[in-house]
Amino acid sequence: MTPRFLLRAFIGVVLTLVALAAISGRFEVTTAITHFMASGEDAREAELSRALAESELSRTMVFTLRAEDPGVAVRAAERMAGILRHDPEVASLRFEVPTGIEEAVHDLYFPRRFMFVDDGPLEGVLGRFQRGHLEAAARDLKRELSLPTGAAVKAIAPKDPWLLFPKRLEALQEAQKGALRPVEGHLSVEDGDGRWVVMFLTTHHSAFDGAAQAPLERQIQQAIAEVGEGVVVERSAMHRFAVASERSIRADVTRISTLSTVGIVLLFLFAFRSPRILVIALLPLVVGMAAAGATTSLIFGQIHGLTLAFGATLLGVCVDYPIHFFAHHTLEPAEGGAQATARRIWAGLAIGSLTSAVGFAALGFASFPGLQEMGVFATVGVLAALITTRLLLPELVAEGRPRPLGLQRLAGRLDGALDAMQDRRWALAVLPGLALLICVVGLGRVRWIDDTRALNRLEVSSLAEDQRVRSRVSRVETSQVVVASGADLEEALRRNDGAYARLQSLEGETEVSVQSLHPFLWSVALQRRNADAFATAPALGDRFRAALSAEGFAPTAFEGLEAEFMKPVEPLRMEDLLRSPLGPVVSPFVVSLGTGDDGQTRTGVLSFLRGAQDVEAVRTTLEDLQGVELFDQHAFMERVYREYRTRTLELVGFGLLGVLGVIAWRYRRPRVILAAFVPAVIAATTTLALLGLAGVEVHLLHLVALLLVLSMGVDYGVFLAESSRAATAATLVGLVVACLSTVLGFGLLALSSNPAMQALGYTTGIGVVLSLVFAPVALILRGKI
Amino acid sequence: MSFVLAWVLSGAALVQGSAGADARAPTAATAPTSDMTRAELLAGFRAMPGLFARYKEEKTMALLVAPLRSEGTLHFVRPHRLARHQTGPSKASVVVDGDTLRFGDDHGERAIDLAQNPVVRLFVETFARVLAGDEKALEAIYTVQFTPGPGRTWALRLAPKDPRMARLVESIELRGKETALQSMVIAEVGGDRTVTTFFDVDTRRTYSKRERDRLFRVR
Repeated sequence: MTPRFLLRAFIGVVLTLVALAAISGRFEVTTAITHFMASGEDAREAELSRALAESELSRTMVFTLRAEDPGVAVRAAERMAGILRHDPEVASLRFEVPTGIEEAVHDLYFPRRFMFVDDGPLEGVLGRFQRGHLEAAARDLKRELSLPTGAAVKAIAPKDPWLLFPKRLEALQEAQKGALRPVEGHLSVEDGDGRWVVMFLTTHHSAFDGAAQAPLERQIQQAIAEVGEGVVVERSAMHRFAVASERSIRADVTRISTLSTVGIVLLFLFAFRSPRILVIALLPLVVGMAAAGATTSLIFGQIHGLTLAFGATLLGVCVDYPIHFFAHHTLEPAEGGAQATARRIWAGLAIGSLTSAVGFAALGFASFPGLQEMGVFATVGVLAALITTRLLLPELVAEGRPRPLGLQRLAGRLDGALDAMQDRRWALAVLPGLALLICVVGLGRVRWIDDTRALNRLEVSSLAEDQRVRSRVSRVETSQVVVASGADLEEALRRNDGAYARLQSLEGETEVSVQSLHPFLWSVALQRRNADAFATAPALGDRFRAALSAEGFAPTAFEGLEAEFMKPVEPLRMEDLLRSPLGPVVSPFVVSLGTGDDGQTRTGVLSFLRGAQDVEAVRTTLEDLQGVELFDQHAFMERVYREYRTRTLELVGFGLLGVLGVIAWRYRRPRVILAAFVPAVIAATTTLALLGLAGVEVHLLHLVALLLVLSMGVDYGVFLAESSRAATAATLVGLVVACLSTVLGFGLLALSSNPAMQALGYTTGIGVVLSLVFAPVALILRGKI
Repeated sequence: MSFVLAWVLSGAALVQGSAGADARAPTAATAPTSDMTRAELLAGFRAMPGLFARYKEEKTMALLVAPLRSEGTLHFVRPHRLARHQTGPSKASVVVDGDTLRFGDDHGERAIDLAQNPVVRLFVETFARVLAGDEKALEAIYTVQFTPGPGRTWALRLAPKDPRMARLVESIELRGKETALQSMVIAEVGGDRTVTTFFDVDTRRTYSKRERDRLFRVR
């Protein structure tokens, strides 16, 4: 088979893969964090995390407006509402007090007052029917009649002598603990600065969907600009952080990629005197990405955003292959032309890419689908880039071009340096010795951080404003949530009934504040139990009338009591609340939890906690309640990232063993094996130690960068190990160009203001430079000088 | 449904005068002998710095065989601080301060945000507006009927215009002599009545800071 036939066959395979992926519609990018979860429990929590992130609560922004004259603030809110209300991204906007809420509350709860009598054990309900309790209830009723609330009490007393309805109203009022109050038809709060008009804006898309939020953000800026002078507008919204973060990343990418592109173009022009070579050099990466993306999609059905981002980063290693080829083709061309040069360096290229592929393939053994995807993606991408370099590049480069002067000079100097090293071999030992010292001191200081907040930098002033609005309006916190789950809403509500009692006891003893659905809705079972207790209690009406009569009431006024007990009323259900003006208040408490281990869909009823310092105390309080658990969003994300990081580290370790195996199989002699392998490990370890010494908190992105450094470092070692003495200078030139191109391509990301991109940039930059510096160690071990 | 509308009764009760009032109105010494006019009455209220009175109240309602009786003291400081301390048969307090209505007895204390209860606020402010002589504001809320009587006595009948108020209260009728309130009768829709009589009325009463701190809180 000729190289040209193989090339056509290869291109055919890649195109077929891409076509299949496209036709099957499987080239779908997902961002579900479930991809990085190992167990069923984790997956459930991930679903909950997703539900919270996309919940109405997270999608709701809170604006507060203040002016010297409250009327001016109200008019400003009306003007803002007028501008924003019709934005397609706005799902709802509220700043006026909903009309008819009092009537709605009456209609929902008064007919069901007996159903909401008591959420404790049945004995508590039956106890109310005993003579002593009935007499006490009659006394209470009489006392209530003399209070300022007496008029309303009098109106309902004949049908509700226990005053169950007013007690329910108090419970509902207590549930709305915030400082929010209606003033002249508008929602408002007061703090030390004065009275603020409050406006809630809920979006259709997730707050973290930067693309969907950006146009609305512009509209909001315009609306704020138009409120007029003297009006202070502050807001709390996750949206603005997502938009700001995306905007900042995009600006950084544009700036840095421009700088990077100019740098790489200049580098290639200087090194190879040909812009065409630059384009050709990118082909292995493009083909590698296409083949990797298509294969991963076909195998997994979709591809995760992180896989795409990290995988593409790892494929950066492939740029070394064309550079290695061009360096040899330019400085030490084989007599048979480009194809012959490619054949000459093929062993080095193949071993270099095989080691990378083996290292990356280890990720495929992870239990997380996300890491498996990444393993497949990077392995396929590296191999496809290698084949492209071998088959396509020799076909595209021009033969017989004059050798660039700069490159020749560089080769000459490197050759001279090699000669000099021959006389001072001991001096080369200084570098590994220094590295060892750095590692001994620095590795112990490495601090791993798994807090995802470290991956983003939020503007301090926006954060402070967000915090001010939150404390002013007393918004619900979604980071600590108690979840009562069930096969359906009724089961979840039954469990929530039990959880609420426990949480209330906690609320009394600690600083914890609970916001729950329970004051609004009890399970149907509990409501029916209570209603039945009233309907079946023997002679309850007669006995209560006797107690009332003894207290001076006219018994005739209470003649309809039995009819009230027996009145057929359907229990209150979530649908009733959602249809009422209370809908926006209760809807955030219920979420879908996806599908459970049994394949059944599950529903969760949430209780939001604030100020829970002792999370374990909350957990202990709830531990014996079936289907009830505490979910700590931050702790969960931290755990996921920690598991992901530690598993990745383990797999990188296994991958390195695989790489060592490949190298051992190829070279068999220990000195050569170490020559190819050790410099990369020293470079990556020293980079990590330097981060430790610099006090950098190391996270997942550093790890991905170190993986890239290891791959490139092993390539450097292998290329040198494979080089003949005559071609070593060309190899070293290739390494210098490859190193510079990596620094320009990745290292410049260190200039970004985004911590994640920064980490990727400086870790890769330091790592590849160290890989280049330590490459001569390979030469010592190899015994070539 | 806002059950705090009950302030309709007790809030209005604060403006009741006593039939046997010790009228020490500022104009008493120079009081003309002609009939009291509405303008004179309101001007007299406007001149009052504060108010103290003792009261006896009798609530007659269909629910009870016998009326509920109570007695206590009433305090008012401009612009709108009110306190009513019931001394018998049991202790209870009602205090209006700014946007908050507080009340309590041996069983505990409760508070009502008047900003959230516009109808209740109307009734609460009724008293302040009567004492402020704010005719315009009163006319906005009520149909006002003033009837002069012999010996500088008068009757002021307020019938709510707001349908939400009118659902509960038929009328509030205040009686007095000069600026001294003597009685108030609240006639509720349905026939229940609250009759409060005031005595020891001091329409020149001022309160020191210490007194204000002590009196204008639930005890």
